[in-house]
Amino acid sequence: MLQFTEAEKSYGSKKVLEIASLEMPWGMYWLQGPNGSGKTTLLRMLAGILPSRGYIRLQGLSLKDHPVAYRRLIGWAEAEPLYPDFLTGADLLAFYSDIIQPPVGQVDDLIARLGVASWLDSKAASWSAGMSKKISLLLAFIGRPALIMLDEPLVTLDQPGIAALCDLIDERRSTQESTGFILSSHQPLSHAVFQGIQIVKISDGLISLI
Amino acid sequence: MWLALNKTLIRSFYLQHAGFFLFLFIVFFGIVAPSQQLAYHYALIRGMLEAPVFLILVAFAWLLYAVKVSQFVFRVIDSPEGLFLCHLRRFEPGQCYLVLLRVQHVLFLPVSGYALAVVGVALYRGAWVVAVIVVSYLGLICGVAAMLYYRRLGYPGVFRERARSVSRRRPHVRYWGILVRFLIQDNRWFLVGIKLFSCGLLYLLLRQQTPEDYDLRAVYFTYCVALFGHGILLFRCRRLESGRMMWYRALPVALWKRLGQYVLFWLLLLAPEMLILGWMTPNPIRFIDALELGITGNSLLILVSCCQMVIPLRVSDFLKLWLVLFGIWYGCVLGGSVIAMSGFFVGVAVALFFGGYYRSTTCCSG
Repeated sequence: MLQFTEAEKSYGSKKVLEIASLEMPWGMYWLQGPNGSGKTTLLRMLAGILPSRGYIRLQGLSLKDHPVAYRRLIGWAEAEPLYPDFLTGADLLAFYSDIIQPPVGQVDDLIARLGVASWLDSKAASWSAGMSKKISLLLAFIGRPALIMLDEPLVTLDQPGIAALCDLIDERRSTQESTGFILSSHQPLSHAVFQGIQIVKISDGLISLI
Repeated sequence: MWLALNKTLIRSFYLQHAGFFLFLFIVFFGIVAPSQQLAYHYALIRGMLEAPVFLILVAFAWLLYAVKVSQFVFRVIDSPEGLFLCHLRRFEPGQCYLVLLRVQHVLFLPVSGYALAVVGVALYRGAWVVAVIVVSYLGLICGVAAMLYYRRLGYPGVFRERARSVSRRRPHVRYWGILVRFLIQDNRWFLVGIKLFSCGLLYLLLRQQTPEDYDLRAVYFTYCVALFGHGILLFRCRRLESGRMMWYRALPVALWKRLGQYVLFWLLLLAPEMLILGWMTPNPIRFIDALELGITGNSLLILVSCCQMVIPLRVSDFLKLWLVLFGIWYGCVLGGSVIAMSGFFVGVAVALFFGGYYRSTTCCSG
């Protein structure tokens, strides 16, 4: 379960998000809101990248009090992922694997399913937006995160990539019941795997579950 | 069968490596007059027999050659043109192995020919043990190589895939390594310039120190300017982190481990200067002074780096920060309290890091 208590985020004097109290049970959520409403900010706050006021707890672990344990529960993929130009996909996978220690064979399985094997040895400078996106999705699924957050996951993905992503989501939801998802997307989430997805509206810095 | 192997493996190997063999031939036989060849090589082999280290080096070179040969054979077996070689596995395993052993022997001829001469001289001089060792060593190399070829023929291409898969996970990529690669790949000339300036300056200034005229204050002041150049490198690293490495903050890495990665990076960054200092002790610079200079330099960089991590700094802010630190540095050098200053710098840096790393928004300023 994800809990917010008096969480808020401001940029300078402008308050972008304000969540007095909110509990989100396990499930799949679709963040909706116009551009600039704070969807990416919320995901970055949850990922521990942007500091915020108040408390965010996941499975009872506070982001502030247990920064490492909390982060172990999180998988996160950026909307427009950026990596150092000189790193290869293999470098990134090795780096993540060293830290997260995924189950044996999981990384190879993800590589095969997302179809990224052919450019793993090429440098990030030569990747297209879609390739970077696939790598970031792959990295988000490494390990056994309890909550996977995907910012605009369908943008720049090709059809096989979308199918592979939907399969992965479906698999994580069915085989590991504790995996929750928060997606932010302006694209329609019409695939079968997204049926029953709960909508979270963000407007004027306020969040409401629908 | 032999004909096919001869054509695909042996002949193509020697043709592809003709230049390499020509080079070796010139090195071994071209530098001595023909009339002196025998005496020269006899002396060389005697050297091998009398100095075990020399023999070990030669044995290592033979091993490298064996690796080169086996890599070539693996490449051929894995290539689409060499796939037909898998049919060799249809023969009896022993028969197949012997054929591959013969291939290896022919490919290894340049080494085994010379080794034969070594064995001959060893026997002539009564060095039986060396002769046996050399023969066994060569036999082992060829035997193992043939066995590897035999295994490879059973799974052409699979080993390469597996090796790729393993190499994907094996090389440990560390955070400090990423930062070092950034400096080497994207800031190569700037880094070289700063290093030349910094190390050259240290060397020249320290060389002028004499027991009669021993004063390191000038060294401290100029070294601070060199450190400023390093500060610019750190500034660029920070920009990389805030722009393209935001994801690192979302990873489950303990703060002390993060700090450890940075400390390693800072130490590596100043390693050439530390080597110069070490080289210049105890004369012209005393050991304790070298240690102080090294510690103060590192502590200054650590503080600058931590400040950048916690406080969003523009270029103008960065310059102001350096001015302030330079003032403190200047005062402490004149006051003779550089170690206290270093302790203060490190203390502030660590406090800033632990207190501000997760609270700062500098990661998203890019």
